[in-house]
Amino acid sequence: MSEDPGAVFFALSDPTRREVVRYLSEEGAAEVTATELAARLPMTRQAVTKHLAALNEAGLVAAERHGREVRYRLTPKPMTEAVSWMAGVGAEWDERLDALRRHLT
Amino acid sequence: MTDEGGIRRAVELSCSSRRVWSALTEAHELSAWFGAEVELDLRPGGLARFLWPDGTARRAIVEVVVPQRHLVLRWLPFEEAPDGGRRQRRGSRIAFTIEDRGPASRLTIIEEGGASPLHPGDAAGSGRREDRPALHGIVATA
Repeated sequence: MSEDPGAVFFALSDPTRREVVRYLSEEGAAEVTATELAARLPMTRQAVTKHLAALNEAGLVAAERHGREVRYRLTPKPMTEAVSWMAGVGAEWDERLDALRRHLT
Repeated sequence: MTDEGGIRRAVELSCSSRRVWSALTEAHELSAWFGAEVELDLRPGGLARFLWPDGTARRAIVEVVVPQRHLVLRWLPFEEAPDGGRRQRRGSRIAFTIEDRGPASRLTIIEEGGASPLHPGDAAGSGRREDRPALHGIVATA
C-alpha cells in the first residue's frame, strides 16, 4: 500500500520542505545530493538532510547511495494518490451527508 | 481540506443534537444513510462493521464516544471481499462533532488518512508510527 495521505500533506505543510520539493521538481528526474541542494537553497546541509529525510518518510523523495554520497530524487506518485484519495472520500461524504439530511427530515 | 490533508464537511441540520447523535450511533439509523449496513458496539474500543450492497465489508474501531457531542471511528486498514479475501485500504479516522444551535444543530465530519490529529507528531509523522502497532494488535484479535 502507498503512503498515508496525512503523512504526504503533513510533509508538505512545511514551507521549507515545499521549497525542497519545488527545487527537485525543477530538476526533473535528476538526482541531487544534500550538499548540492544546500548550495542552492538558503539553508544548511544539516537542515536540507533533515527535510529530505522527512520527505523520504512520506514517500515523496527516493534516496540512493552512490559510494560515499546519497543522491535524492522526487517520487511524486504519493502526491497524486493523496489528492485522489481526498477527492474520493470527499465525494463519499457529500453523498452521505445528503442522505443524512434526507433521513433527518 | 484540513491541515493534515483530510476531508472536512459541515452541515446545518434542523433537528436537535440528540436526534443527530441517534442518527450517528443507532445501527439501524446509520444503515439508513451511510450507504452500508452497520453493526456498531458503541463504546471506546468497540468494533463497527460496515457491509456494502456489493458485499464488501470494512471494520472500524470506536475510539471516542461523548454522547451528543463527539464520535470518532478509525477504519481498519483493509476491506473484506464477499469471498473472504482481504484487500488493503487506508486506515483513516472519522471524527463527528455535533454542536447545539438552538433547536437545530451543526454536524462537522473530518476524515483524515494519516497522522493522528490528536498526536500530530514531528515532521516525519511519529503519530503514524505510534498508531500502527496498536492497530495491528487489534486486527490480530478481531
